Amino acid sequence: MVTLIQRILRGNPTLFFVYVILFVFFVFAASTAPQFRTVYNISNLLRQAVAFGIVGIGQTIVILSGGIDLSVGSLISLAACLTSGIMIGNPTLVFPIVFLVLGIGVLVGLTNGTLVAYLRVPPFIATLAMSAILQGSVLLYTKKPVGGVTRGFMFFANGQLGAIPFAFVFWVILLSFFLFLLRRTGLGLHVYAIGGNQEIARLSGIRVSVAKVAVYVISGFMAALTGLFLASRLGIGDPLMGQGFELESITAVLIGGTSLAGGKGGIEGTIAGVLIIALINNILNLLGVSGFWQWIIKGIVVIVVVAAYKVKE
Amino acid sequence: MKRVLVVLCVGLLFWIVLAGVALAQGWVKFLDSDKMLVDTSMYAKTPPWKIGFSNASISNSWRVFFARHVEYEASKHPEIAEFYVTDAQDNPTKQLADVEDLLAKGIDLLIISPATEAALNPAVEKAMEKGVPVVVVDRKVTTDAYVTFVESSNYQMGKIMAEWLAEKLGGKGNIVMLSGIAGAGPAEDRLKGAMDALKNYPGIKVLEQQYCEWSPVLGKQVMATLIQKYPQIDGVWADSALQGSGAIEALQEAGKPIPPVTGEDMNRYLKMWKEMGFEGVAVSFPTWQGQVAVQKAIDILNGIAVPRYVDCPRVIITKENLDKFVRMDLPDEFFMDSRLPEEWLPKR
Repeated sequence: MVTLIQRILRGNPTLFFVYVILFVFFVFAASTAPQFRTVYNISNLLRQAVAFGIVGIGQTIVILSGGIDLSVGSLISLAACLTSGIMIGNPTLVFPIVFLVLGIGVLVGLTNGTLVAYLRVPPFIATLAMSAILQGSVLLYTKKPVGGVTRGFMFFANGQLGAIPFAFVFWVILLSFFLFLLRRTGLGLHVYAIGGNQEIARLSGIRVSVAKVAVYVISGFMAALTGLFLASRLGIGDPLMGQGFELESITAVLIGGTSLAGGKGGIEGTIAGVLIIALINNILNLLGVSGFWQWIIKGIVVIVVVAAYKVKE
Repeated sequence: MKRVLVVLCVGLLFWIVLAGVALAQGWVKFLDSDKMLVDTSMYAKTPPWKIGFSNASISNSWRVFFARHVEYEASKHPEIAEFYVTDAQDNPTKQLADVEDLLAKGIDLLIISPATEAALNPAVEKAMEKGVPVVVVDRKVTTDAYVTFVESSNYQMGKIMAEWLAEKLGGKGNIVMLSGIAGAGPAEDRLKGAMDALKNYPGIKVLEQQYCEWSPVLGKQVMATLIQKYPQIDGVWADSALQGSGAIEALQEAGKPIPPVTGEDMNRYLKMWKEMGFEGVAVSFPTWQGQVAVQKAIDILNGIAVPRYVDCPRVIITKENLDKFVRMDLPDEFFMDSRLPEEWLPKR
């Protein structure tokens, strides 16, 4: 344990710092709010973290490659509305819909990636425009919460495996997969290389465009998955459900110590970022503090972490 | 002959049973109806109580007044030891998390004003499953898992406004419709009420219907565009004074005469009405339904039966009683159908 901490501290002080913040928040919560320590609350907290956790993975990878994905919020709304709007409580449709929705996510990602990699549209603009197009499409499809999912489908987000939420287990599996992808595969190395310096990456023989498309496809897939998750959690799709997810996921990535310039950081940090955001909300609710403090504290945490990161550089 | 008689008797008996079943079902339906009282003896608890209030947001002045009424009423009851308030910032996902957090705190009763209908079903179902009674207020949920629903019918409100407008125009003319937030229950219900009312007035032509996010600024922008687009606008149906007052400003700036415009009890609209003297009507969506929700909550915890559905009566302000409601000395964003004492009014 000690050597592990030493290794992390030496290898990546930013990451260590982020986990210290997470730990401080955790201890603070546990000591000030007695209800915090209940199994019920902790399992709530983990479940609440998963939605941002899933979309956060995709956002981290995009940001690592030096890009940004602002279309995830609208894509989440679209995915959730299509899920509940087509399913309408019909169990036989669950699997076809899951494939359809994830397919749409991949398609959106392909479009974003092509725009960025081959047509050289800046990622900020390409995904912002995509976000507007998707939000418009959702509102054309439905202006109200629509349809409904089956009881079985609700297990995805609300089910328990003993004391542990199923969704959390699912998230951990996803995390391990993408940690492996980033750290141990060619694509992962390419993402870091492109984020670090695109020109050098290109000259080293990395197919930059292909890797960039892949990155946006992953992000689109994860956003669609988040949409499925939210439809399962609320039992219904809402056309405004994903609003704010694009900025919130970027916040989680930044708190996690990943640099907006790309190339530095990783999913390890985003995990902490996501948990910190969920913790802030949970603690303030338990302490009965106005929700607006949440924004202020989140802002302060972002500044502290990013500043610490810069000082280290 | 005898056989015919038997057949007739059996036939008669058959019909009597059938009618009986139908009546019985009608009776059951009557019991099930919204006027039914809900027995709350199983929720009775000795004070002190912990009550949680999960608010959708305080993102416009109506919601601020509404939340003040909730807190004001809660402050009057010493039996309430703890009164927790959460603010979901109009986000249903956050609100579900808020409710889970409130349940983790061990509340005895949940008052919820949902961010969107249907999306908060899992939240209230969770509470009821834990044995925590739920009072839904202002906006509905689509599940049955609650004890009482307190609102003021948005459908009626939209309908009254549309009927007034149609009558004012003598059943003939071009109108534009300005709604609140697309998908928000109150906005859609008001619109539905208005559309149903307008079916009886074939001479009224709806030029266009637009959503204005319950924002005066957006109301003004949208109206300015509509003025450009349609040379002849005889009336404006606005589902709230928030965008309605913005629309009046746009008309004024364009130098157009102000046609009949509907609104509600917001002081900004009432002041404009008094100063400019156009044809107006204000139908309130009472901010004090928050107060009623707390009163029902207290009944429930005392084990007193409560109605399944509470419709808070709206106030209709016309030229005749305008002076009773408008207050030129108070800020624009105040809602005048209020039951707050002076010291509880929001600060400027």
